Order: sequence, then C-alpha cells, then structure tokens
Amino acid sequence: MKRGAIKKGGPKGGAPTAVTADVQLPVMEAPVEAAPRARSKVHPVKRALSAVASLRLTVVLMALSLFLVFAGTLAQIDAGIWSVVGQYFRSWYVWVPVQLFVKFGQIFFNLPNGWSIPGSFPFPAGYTLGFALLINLLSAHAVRFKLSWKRAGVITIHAGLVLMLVGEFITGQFAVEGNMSIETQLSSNYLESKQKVEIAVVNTTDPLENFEVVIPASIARKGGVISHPDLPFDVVIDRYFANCRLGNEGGKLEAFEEPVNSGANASAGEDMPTAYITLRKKGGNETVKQFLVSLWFTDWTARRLADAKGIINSQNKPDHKLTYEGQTYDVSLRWQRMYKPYTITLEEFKHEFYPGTDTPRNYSSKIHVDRHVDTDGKNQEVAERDTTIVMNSPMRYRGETFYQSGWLPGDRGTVLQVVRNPGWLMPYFSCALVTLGMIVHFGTYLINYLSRRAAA
Amino acid sequence: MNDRTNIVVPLVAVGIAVLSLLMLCFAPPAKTTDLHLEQFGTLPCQANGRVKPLDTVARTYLMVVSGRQAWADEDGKEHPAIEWLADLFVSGPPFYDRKTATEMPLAYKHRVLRIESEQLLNMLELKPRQGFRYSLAELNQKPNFEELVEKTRKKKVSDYDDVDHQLKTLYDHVMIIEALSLRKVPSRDEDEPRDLGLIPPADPNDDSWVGLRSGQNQEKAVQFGLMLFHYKHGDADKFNSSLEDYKRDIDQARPAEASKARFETFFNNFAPLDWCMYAYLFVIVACCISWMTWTKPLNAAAFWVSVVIVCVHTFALIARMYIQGRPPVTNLYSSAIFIGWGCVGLCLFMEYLFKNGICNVAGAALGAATLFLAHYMAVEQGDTMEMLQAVLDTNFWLATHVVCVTLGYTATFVAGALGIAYIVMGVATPFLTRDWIKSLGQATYGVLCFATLLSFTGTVLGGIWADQSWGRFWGWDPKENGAVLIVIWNALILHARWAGLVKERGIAVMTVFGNIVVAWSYFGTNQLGVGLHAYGFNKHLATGCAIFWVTQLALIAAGSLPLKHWRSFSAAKYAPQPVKKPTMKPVSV
Repeated sequence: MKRGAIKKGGPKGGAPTAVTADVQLPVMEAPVEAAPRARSKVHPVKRALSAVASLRLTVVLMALSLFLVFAGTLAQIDAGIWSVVGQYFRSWYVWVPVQLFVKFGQIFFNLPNGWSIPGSFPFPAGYTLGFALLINLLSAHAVRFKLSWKRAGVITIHAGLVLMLVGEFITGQFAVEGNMSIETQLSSNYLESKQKVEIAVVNTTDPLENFEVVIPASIARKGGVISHPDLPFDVVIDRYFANCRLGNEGGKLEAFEEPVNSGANASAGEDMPTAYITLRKKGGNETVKQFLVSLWFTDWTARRLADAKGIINSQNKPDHKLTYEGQTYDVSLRWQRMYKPYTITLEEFKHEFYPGTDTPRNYSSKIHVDRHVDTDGKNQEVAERDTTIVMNSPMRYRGETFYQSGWLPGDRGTVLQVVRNPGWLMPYFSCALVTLGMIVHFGTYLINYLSRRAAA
Repeated sequence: MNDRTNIVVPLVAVGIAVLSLLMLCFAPPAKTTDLHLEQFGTLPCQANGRVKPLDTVARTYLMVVSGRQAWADEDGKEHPAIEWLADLFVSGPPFYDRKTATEMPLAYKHRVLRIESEQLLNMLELKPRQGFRYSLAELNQKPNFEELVEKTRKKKVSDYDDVDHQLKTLYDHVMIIEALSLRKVPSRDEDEPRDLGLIPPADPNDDSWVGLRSGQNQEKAVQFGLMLFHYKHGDADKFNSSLEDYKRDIDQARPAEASKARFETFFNNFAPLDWCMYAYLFVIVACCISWMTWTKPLNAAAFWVSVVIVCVHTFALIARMYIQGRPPVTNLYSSAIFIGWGCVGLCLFMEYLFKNGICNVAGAALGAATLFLAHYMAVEQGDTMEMLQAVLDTNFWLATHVVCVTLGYTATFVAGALGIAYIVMGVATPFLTRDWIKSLGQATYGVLCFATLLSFTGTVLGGIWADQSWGRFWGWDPKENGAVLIVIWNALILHARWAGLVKERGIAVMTVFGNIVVAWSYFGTNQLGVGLHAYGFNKHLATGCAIFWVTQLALIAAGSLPLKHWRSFSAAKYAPQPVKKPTMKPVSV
C-alpha cells in the first residue's frame, strides 16, 4: 500500500536514524517510501500542498493535541469547566501555567503541597490545532487522492472526522444554552443564561403583561447614563463590579469589589456581578431613587447562601420596588433572559428514589406547551403538546431540545436545560461514518491477512 | 517430545482445572453449627436499594471491615460471614438490652476488625497478633479509642496524616458493626444508617422492604423475630423449623426475588472470579516453564486451560448481569472484571492466530492483574452491585457506550502487554528473533487497530449519550478528555507507523505509553475530583497509578536503549540480524 511522500530517500540510503537502525523486515503494510521528488516538474502549489499534507505533520499535530487535552484536563482542577473550554479548546492559543503540572505531581507523586512555580508558556489551542489537522487532512487527500476500494475505508473515516471537527466548530460558534426553571403548576416563557447577566427595569403596573427594559452587562460594565424612550427616568450606573462580596457593616448592605474568578461554575466560585445605580429624572439632575442590584439577590443558590450567613436579613432586605408617576417598577440585576414564543407549564414533577436510599432513581417533568400566536395584533396561546421529559429522553421542539437537568429545592419544580445547536446531528453521522470506515479498513486488512495465512 | 505428550499434558491440565472447579462448585459450605445458617443466608432482603440475600450483606460488610469473607474465632477456627451477621442481628434490642446487660454481646467479641498499622496498634495499646484482626470488645476496653477518634474528627480532612486516615477508617468500620447490630445498614452519604429491609411489604407490587420493627407486615416480622429468638438461644431444631416455614412463605410471596437470592448465594459460595484469578496465575507459571522446556505441550496446556478459565469468567459476568439485571459494566469493579475478560478473550484469539505463546501469557497476566485489582476494589467498595444514579439508569447506553469504551481500554492494554513482551524479550533475553519480531509486530498492529476502532466508537457514543441526556455532545469533562486521549494516542501510533517514523520496536515502546494513557483515563482522571464522571478521590488509587506509571516509564526507557544493549541483538554486534539458532521459536507461524 502506498502512502504519501514522507522521507527524502529511503532508509537504506539515508542517514542511520533510530528508525533505520531498527530491524528491517518485510512487513505486509510497511510504509513504502516514496521516490525522491522530481524537483523541476512539480508545480510549486502542489509542492507546498504536499508539505502541508505530510503524515509527519499529522503525527506532530496529534502529539500537540494530546498535550493540549491533558493540560485542559488539569486546568479543570482549579478553573470552572466553561472557562477552561473557552481558554483551551475554543480559542486559538492559550497560556498554560506551569503550576498545573506541579498540581499533577502533588496529587499523584506526593509533591509537597506548598510548592508553587510561577510562569506559563504559550501553546496552540483547540481552534489552531483543529484547523491545522483539518487542512493537513484535506490536503493529504487532495495530494494523494485515489478512489479505490482499498482506500474506501480511509476516505470514509476521514470524511467522518472532518464532519466531527466542523460540527464541534459549529457548536462552539452557534450553540445557545439556557435554563428554564418552572415551579409545579406554574409556567415560564423565558430561558436564563447561566453565563451572562443583565440589569432589568420592569414595569409591573399591569398584572397580566409586564414591559421590560434591560441593560446587558456588556453596556452596564462601562458605566455612564442610560436613557430609553420607554422609561420616564434615566438609569445611571454609578459603580459596576464584575464580581463582589456582600457585607452588612452596621446593618446596611454593601458590596465590596472582588477579583474576577477564572471559572464560571459553582464549585470554582461564581462571579457575582453587582451594581450601584441611580434613577434620575429624565433630562434633569433630580434623583428618583438609588438601588443596589446584585446577582446575590436574584440567583436562588447565592441568595440562599447570603440568607443563611445572615448577610441579608429581615432588617436589610434589598429594595427593588419603585412607584413613579403612578406606575410601579421592579429593578434587578439577574441572569440574562431569553424570551420565547411559547410557554411551558409544569404539570407535575417527579423525583423518585431507590427504596430505602437517597440515591435518585429518576426525575421527570410532565409539561404542557403553548405556542404564542399573533392574531389581529392580539397575542394568543395555542395548545401545542403535552409530554413528559425524563432523564435520557429529551423533548425536541422548534429546533430546541429540552432536557431534564435538575430540580428546584424541595422538589418545588423542575429545571430544564434548553439547547439550540444547529450542529447537533453531525456527531451522529460522524460516528457512523468513522466506525463504518474503520470496520471496512481494518476488516480488509484482517481478511487479507487471514487469506494469505491460509494460502501459506 | 513425542505427539502423545503434546496431547496428554494439555488434557491432564484441563482435567485438573475442571476437577478443581467442580469441587468448588459443589462443595457444601463449611459447617460450624447445627443451625442451618447457609439456608438463613439465602433469605432475600433489601439493602441500599437492591434486593439481595443476607449472605451478600454479610460477606460485603465483613469484607469491608475485615478484608475477608470469613472470620476466625479465638481458636483459629474458620466461620462463615453469615454467622457473624446472625450474631450481630441478635446483639441489638429486643434480643439484647444494652442498659441492663452486664456482658458485651457475643458478636462484639468476634475478631473481625483489621488493624494492620503498627503505629495505630501502639496508640490503641493493642498487641500485634497473627492475622491482625481485633474485636470490637477489645477496642471498647481501650479508654483512649473514643478520645483519639474525637481528636481526628476535629481536624480538617486535608490535614489528615496516615494515622488519622487509618483511625477514620477504623471508626467507620466500628460504625458499620454498630449499625448492623441494630439491623441497619450504613448509607453511602454521611446520613444516619437506614433500616435493613428484612421484611417484604404485604403488597406484592410495593418494592420498599421494611425493617423488622417497622410495624408493617407484622405477620412476617413476628416470624422473623421468632427465628432470631431461637437463634439467640441456640435452639437448633426450633430455629431450623421456623426458618423452613419462613423460607416457604417468602418463596410464595416473592418467588422471583427469592430464587434470585438463592442463585446469588450460590454465586457467592462458588466465587468463580477468585478461582479464575488463581487459575490465571497457574497459566502464567506454565507459560514461563514452557520457555525452558516442554514448549509445545505446556503452551497447548496453557491455551486450553485459559479457554476453560475464560468460560468460567464469562459465566461470572453473565451471572452478575442476571443478578443485577444490567449490562456488564456499571462501576469500577465491574469494569475491572470486564476488562480482564476482554483482555483474555482477545489474547486467546491472537494466540489462536499467531500461536506464539506470548499472547497466552499476556492474557493470563492481564486477567490475573485485573481480577486482583477488582478484588481490592471490592474490599474498598462493599457491595459491587450497587444501584445506579439516575443518569446512568439506561441499559441501552450502558450496553453500548460503556461496553465499547471498556473494550477500547482492554485492547489498548493488550497492545501494551505485547509491547512489554517485545521489550522484555529483546532487552533481557536472546530470543527476539526475526520470526518473533514479525509475529509480535503483526499481533500488536492488529490489536491497535481494534483498540482505535473501539475507543473511538465508544467515546463518540458517549458523546451521543451526553447529547441525549443533557444536550451537550461534548463537554470536555476530565473523563471524556481521558477517553479522547486514548483515541488520539492510538491513532497517533498508527499514523506514525504509516509515516514510517516507527517500526516494530517504536510501536512496542509507544504501546507501553498507551498503558500510561489508559491508566490516566481509567483511574487518573477520577483523582482530580472534578467533573460529571468523578467517583471520588482515593489515595491508594492515586499512589497505585503513580507506581504503575513509573514501571511503564522504566519499560519505555529500556525499550529506548540502543540496540547494542539489547541481548537479542548484542551478539550480532547490533547489526539488524538477530542471533542465529534461537533456542526458542514461536510454535508455528
């Protein structure tokens, strides 16, 4: 089987490397060295392409990937998974701290816990290596492409891999995730992002329909005065902390700025964005009201923690209500919401355990979906479907997938994870292609070997 | 060697293997009393969510506290685990009143607590004794035990030294005994122990068994209590007849559970995996002898005995699947025995193809090693057939993703074992001839292809499972990363071979590194204490991993020695020609 232009000169003529010193044997699938390049006739593009298509490059890229994945695993000891994915896999380069490997030694080789080595080194990250492998693979097929039964397996395997790399890229770029928490017998029509926050001013005068003005964190972070035609006042961001800790010196709630965590998951410590804002009469300097808004108040887990520690108590409960010119408003900093053209009602939530244990056996949410339809300018709800979402059995609806993700404390309701991922089908095809390709490729080898053996 | 020896030796070996098996299978359990305790052991009960025989409860907890499934009394006489459990059952109210009793209950005098640390023994003022097993009564007589435990409990776990860990473990074991004496079982989380479900509910559709004194299904509870009462008084006739009655009733009320419990008791007694572990060791010995003399008959004997062992190993896997109602791999323990099974099976297939005697010994070594590991994990874990977390509760994905990934581990380990064989043979012996290089090289290549296929498919199936259960095909979780490392490494070896960067020796060295990668993925990633698949940190496993890695690195270093230092090549002045006239040959190629 011929494979690629790899070496200048065969091992017999070349310098004795470690490889050539090895025992030479007529192995059946031994790489046949390509003939020395015909220098003059080959088009320079093709020559460049064959350099990029080199199998040695493949091996080097794979070795680099190996190291990257290893480092990206170790990085999760300290940092949250999402920041690691962002830094190591969905980016072009990464600074790998040396301390990671010290940590590795501490876990496995009993290195003293106090050891710490500063410094870090740059390394190509997921996108770089993924693209390099993709280009390497595509040019290899471009240079050495030969449609034959013998190569059918290899081509199928590689087509599957390309699909997978592309799929992962699409997921990285376009997938949107959010959580929908619904209490039993109540409904929800929005998702909460667990990665971004916003400051929301909600007009709650009408009990049936609320109007919201939201300021994304990306704008709020810059501070300044924010004006919106729907609001009778301006919002002044006095101070914005990307992360803070709460204190209640003298009974008054106060926010103290904290450095931003590298991780974004709960165990590594979540960032708690907080802001001091002033509502000011439009066009004037007259202060309507001042607020301290924080994720500490709106995130359920964080709030429970603050309550339990007594930082927030009955005396200093954060104020979030305002009545102004006959309208009532609610001001908060909360996880970013994505409103949806449908409403989901949780009819029943079940949380079963194995008998006599605390080991959960199953969670399930019986839900009802209503679609919002605009008829004659009126928003109406049309019953769409009734279904039950169980662990390992999600609901797919309008390009989104709803998974059983968790539950509200005390089994008061369900938490669904909602994902829109245009690339979700790609891994399925990819897996099938690669598996099939490998069975064909290796199977051919095995059958050839067996028949040769039988003949011998 | 004549033809007759070639047939007789394997036949005799297989005969001995089968005979020892039959003896183990049908030997009656050791009798220590007139009480029909072995029958008592088959009674079904419910602990940690699973219906199992009392025998399993007795064995698993005795295993945890004592490291064995039987215990010895003061005279050194062996007793079955169920006797210990039965004694414990009558050590709590209403059979034993702690306030009025003047003497410790009998069960507390059984020497079952294993304390091997000399330092801890010194601190507790206990004398080292043969077997290092001590009784709770002995421990309770030491006034400083509670004090020491209290001191340790005040420390943070991260500040624990070795003795603190040992003391904590000992205290946990004491709590297990205390719990069992109240007919409760310790729960996995730090909660209070829960009632052991001894009594099935009257409603046959209700699957929550209850404790003896719960007040439910009084009729059965009274029967059971009476049985224990007779046991307490050593009244063999009455105990046996009440046991018969109770058994008959349970058989009628819960026929499926009762028959499964009987089978599980038989399985416990038979302990086929223990037999397999020792039998694999015999195969290794036979193979080693075959390199010196009697090559052909001993190789054949090793092969056919391995076939017998694999059958028993298979039976054990199927039996566990039947008892649990699950695909073969559900936790670390079962993954170890499954990997062992896969390794031996794959090696036997390779042996059948290449007939080089090396695959035989590699398979037996991997089989023995994995079963030993599993045995060790059983001591740590207790019941090896625990219930699964909700997300794992899907037979389809357990049967596809988990089986596939574990087989991927298996094949990678087998390739690594062949790599080790290549290096050891070449460096330390003069036997690595051209024929051997060819035969081992082909075998390794085939196994590598298989490993790449299985680990890739298994990993991606895992991604699809993740997509099905929480909408994320790939999460870069440590365990997922570990799996992908195996795929990348195997693919890397194959590509390096196709690129002409490595040949047989290079591949052998690289497959040994594959062992490191698999160990990292299998055990190492769990030690980081993060991610969805983390099963918790275990100091022994971390150290075990490190030791394993060091041995593999040493082999890699040996494999990277210049050829002039390889015994197989040095005689020929490191020319690519190996020594001539080897004394050992692959049986036939």
